[in-house]
This record gives sequence, C-alpha cells and structure tokens, in this order.
Amino acid sequence: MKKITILLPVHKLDEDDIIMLKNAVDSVEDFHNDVKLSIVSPKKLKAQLVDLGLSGKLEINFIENTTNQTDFTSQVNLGIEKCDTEWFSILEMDDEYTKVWLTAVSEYAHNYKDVDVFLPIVKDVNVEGSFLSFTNESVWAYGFTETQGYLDNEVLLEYQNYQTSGGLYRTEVIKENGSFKDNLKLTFSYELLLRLTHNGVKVMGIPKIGYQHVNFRENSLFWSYKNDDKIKLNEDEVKFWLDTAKKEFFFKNKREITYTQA
Amino acid sequence: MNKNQTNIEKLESALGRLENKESVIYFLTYDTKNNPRASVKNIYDMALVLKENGYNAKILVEDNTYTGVQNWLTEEYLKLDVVSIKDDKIEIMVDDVIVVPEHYSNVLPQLTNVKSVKVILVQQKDYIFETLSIGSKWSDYGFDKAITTTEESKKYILEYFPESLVHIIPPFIGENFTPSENTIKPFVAISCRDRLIHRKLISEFYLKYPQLRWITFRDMVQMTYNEFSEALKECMVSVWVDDESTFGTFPLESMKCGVPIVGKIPNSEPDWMDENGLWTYDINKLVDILATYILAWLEGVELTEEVKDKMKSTVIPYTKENHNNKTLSVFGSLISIRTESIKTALTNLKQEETV
Repeated sequence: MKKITILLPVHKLDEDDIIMLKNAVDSVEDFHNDVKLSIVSPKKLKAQLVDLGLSGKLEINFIENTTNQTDFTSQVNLGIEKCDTEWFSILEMDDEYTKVWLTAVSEYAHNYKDVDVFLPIVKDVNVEGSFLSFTNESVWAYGFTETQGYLDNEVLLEYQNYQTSGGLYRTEVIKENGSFKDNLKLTFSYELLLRLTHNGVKVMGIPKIGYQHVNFRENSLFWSYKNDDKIKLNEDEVKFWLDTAKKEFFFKNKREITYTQA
Repeated sequence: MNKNQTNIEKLESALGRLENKESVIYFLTYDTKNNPRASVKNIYDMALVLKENGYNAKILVEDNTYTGVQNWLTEEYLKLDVVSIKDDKIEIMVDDVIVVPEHYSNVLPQLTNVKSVKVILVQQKDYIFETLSIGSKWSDYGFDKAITTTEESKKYILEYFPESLVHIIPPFIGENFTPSENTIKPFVAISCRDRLIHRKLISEFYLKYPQLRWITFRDMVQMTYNEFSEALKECMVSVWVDDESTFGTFPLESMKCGVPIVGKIPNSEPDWMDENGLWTYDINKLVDILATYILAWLEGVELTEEVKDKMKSTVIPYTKENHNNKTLSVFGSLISIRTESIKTALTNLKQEETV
C-alpha cells in the first residue's frame, strides 16, 4: 500500500503550463511504486488533464474543485482533505522533485518517528535552471535553531524564508492542526509552519536537495505579488501580511482579515 | 662476598624476577594535560595488553603532577600503575625494559648507564631528531632496539640507525568505531595538526562556497575516546591534514566508521594509503575537493562500492587482536633474549668462580 500522496494543484493550463506540468509529473514517475499523485484542479480542466496522459506508471487521482476558490492554497487544502495516505507532499506545477527525494524522506520518516514534518533542502533556480540559492538548509547551521536540524517557533518568528512545497507531512497531524489559510496573501506557508511549531509539531530538515523550485517565474503567484500591477503588494502590505501571520498562527482556522493601508 | 658472587646473586635474582614476570616494563609517557592523543593511547594500549597477560607493565612519568588519562580514556586503562621518576625514585634493573618515545630523546644520556632492555618507540618519525643531540645515535646511549608503527618508518629508521633491531607494532582502531545506525548529518569532522591550517581551511571553504555556510565543521579535539567515535560516525565526511603523521590514526578511524576522508597526503605516505579516500598532494585543492564531495552528497550521490570496499579492507589489519598479538610477541621476544643473555652471563660467571 502506498504511503505518500503527492498533491499537485493546477489552476490553469496553457501551453507553457502543460510543459511545466509534464516536467513536474516526470519528476515523480520513478516513485510510482511508493507514491500516488493527486492532481487538484478546477472542474473545467479535468478532462483536458486526463487527456494529457501524464504518466503510464503513476496512480493518478484527479480531484475536481467545484468551488470558486481555485487558488494554490484552496487546491492544496482540498487535496489534503481527500488524502487517505499516511503522508502527503506538495508539488508545485513549475517545480520538480530530485531523484533522491523519495529515498531521503523514507529514510528520515523511518528513523525519526516523532517527527511529523520533514523539509528537504530546496534548490532555488531561475527560469533558465541556474542555481540561485538553497532554502530550508539553515536549520542545520550550528547554533541557529535550538536543536540542530529542527525548525522551531522562535527562529521562525525572526526568519521567514522556508519552503513548504516538497516537504513531507503526516496527513493526520495536518488535519488536526489545520492546513493553509487561503485568506493569507504571501505568508500562508509561513503561518502554517508557525502554527505547527507553536503546537509542538516536530519539523525537521533533511540535509539532501530533494526539491527544485523555480524562483519568481513570470506570472507565478509570488512574481505577481511583486510585479503585477493588479495584485502587486507594496512594502506596507508585505509587512502587514508578515505581522498577520505572526498573530494568526495561534488559531487553527482562518479568521476574517482585511488589509487597510497604514 | 667477592664481586663475582655479588654479580651472580644479582643475576640470579634478575632471572627469578624474569621467570616470575616481576620484571617491570616501563613505558615513559608524556603528560597531555587532559588532551586526548592517539600516540599516548597507543602506549597505554601496549602497556594494558602486557599487564592483562601477566607482565608487570607500568606507565613512567616525570613527576606526580601527571594528569593521567582518566578524563579521555575508559576505566580499563586505570588498571595500569603510574610511577614517577622524581617522586617514586624508581630503580631500573637489568631485567626490566624501558620504552622511550622518540621525542624524549633528551633523556637518553641519563639512561646510558641503565642496564635494562632499552627500546625507542617511534610513532612520529619527524620527531626523532627534535631532541636528539646532533650527530648522535640511539646506540650511543645503549638503545639498540626500536618499535615503530609502519614499514615506511622502519625503512627510515634503518637508513639512519642501521644497527637497530626494529619491530613494527601498528596501533589498532577501536571497536567503538562503527558505521552509524542513524542518518548521517551535514557535519565535517576536521583534524589538522596545525591550528592555522584548520582555521584557514574552514574560512576558505565558507568564503568560496557561501551557499554551504550552514555546513558544520566539527573540531575533533577535547573529546573522550568514546565521544570522539560517536561524533565522528555521524559526519558525512572527514578532513585530515597532518604532514608529520607517520601512521595516521584519524583517517583509519573515519574509514572504519564508513565516513569518507578528504585529505592531504602526509610527507611520508602511510602504509595503508590507497584509493580509499579523496587524497591530494596539493593542500590548495582540499577546499574544492571537499565542496565537490559535499554538493554531490547533498544531491544523494553515494561513494562507489569499490571505494567503500577499499575503506573496509584498509582497516581490516588494524584490529585489537592483531595489535595485542604483535605486542605480546615483540615484548615476549625482547624478554626472552634478555633472559637468555642473563643465563649466559650467569653461566660464565659461575664458570669463572669455579676456576
């Protein structure tokens, strides 16, 4: 029986998206004996996704999102809700797992039974695939967190830059503690980590490059927050969402939040 | 009683002590001031196996300020008696054995008139001439036997002290050095004889590879023997720079733990050195080799089975059993030669007496 579900949220599907999606799915292909793939998408995209014939080996489950909320966080939350495996991971459409991911997460999940979230090192690359930086590696820096290798709430309150995609999550623990809050712009994954560590969930880093993330791809969510005039966030708003995350992590469920300019 | 009779009595008593294993084997040892040293552990290992096999082995130190090894070696080593030259006023007899480490060559003149079996212990061949009077030889002071740790070192000794009888007793790598049963951590175990090189390597690494600044360098000093092995086995790689090294305990301990070693080849190549590590003659290449290995490790690249097998087979000869057998055999032979020579001297004296 497969123990891991890979959640792959799809919001739209143009030509470029299809290429990226195929690459993302290809990166899971070799894990077909151990993982299943759940592609969460708006109802209207399902047929097109099925027609793509994304994999001959993977067990793919297409989850239709019939609501109007088809943003990244809502799609992931729906995937978590429907997840029936012990663990899940999140794969963004423009990202890829590395070959060592499955071996590494399996080894760590086996050796550290008390840990519920594992974050591999993420290699950030630009759209050309050139190396930019690592993310999640800092938990292994000497003296950075209280216990080397583990992420703690105190450190998170000062350092926000952690990547949740590519991580391995114990499904029941996330269901108990609540998943992403879809009304938090920019800082939804930060807030989740703050909430988990505040609630005593052990979050551990895996010192292997398990995931490759394209940073600031044009039209990606975070690119849009920076560059798209329609949804661009100014400095005050960035600060607001950071501060909000630091207030909201005490609550399991989302509360109504309105940004008002200072 | 004439002089002959006195000598006969002395020799008979020496023979009695030898037969009853009461003769003392002294190992002159320096005070590490609680700093663990492989060379001192090796001395204690030899003394311990001799003691456990009925020999009267003792650690000989300068004075009672000696701090001992209780803070870094296990309890079993405390079985060994420690006697001091100054405070215990020991008398070294004809049937005793004294083993003097090479860097203690300055005491050799004081031991010239001592009639015991006299042995030089060479663990660091570069230290041989450090305190030895220029142009003098060990045999000038009656030291005609040597124990060393490698073939290479034996060859060197025979080149400069050809009159010496040289035995090889390689140290052993403890059973506490085993591969980790847990996940390996992104730590680098570093062992450099020269602290300046130690600092330089770490600084160069962090400056040249800032994306790896989160990698921890673990300074393998100030640990007990067991803490050392535990700390070593959870590291992903070891770094070793010790140009003066003769035997090279640290890389072997790494190999026994399954931890790959990146190292600078010392001035005299250890006997065991082979394709069992990432070796270079050029110290300036170490940082790049290390970073390349670490980046590959982070991506999940493993050492080839061939290298892993080489690492395993390299350490096979350095077992405690081999070390113990070799120690017992060498000292057994030294003592038996001395017993025979005392017997011969005794026979000669007795013959003189009857004539």
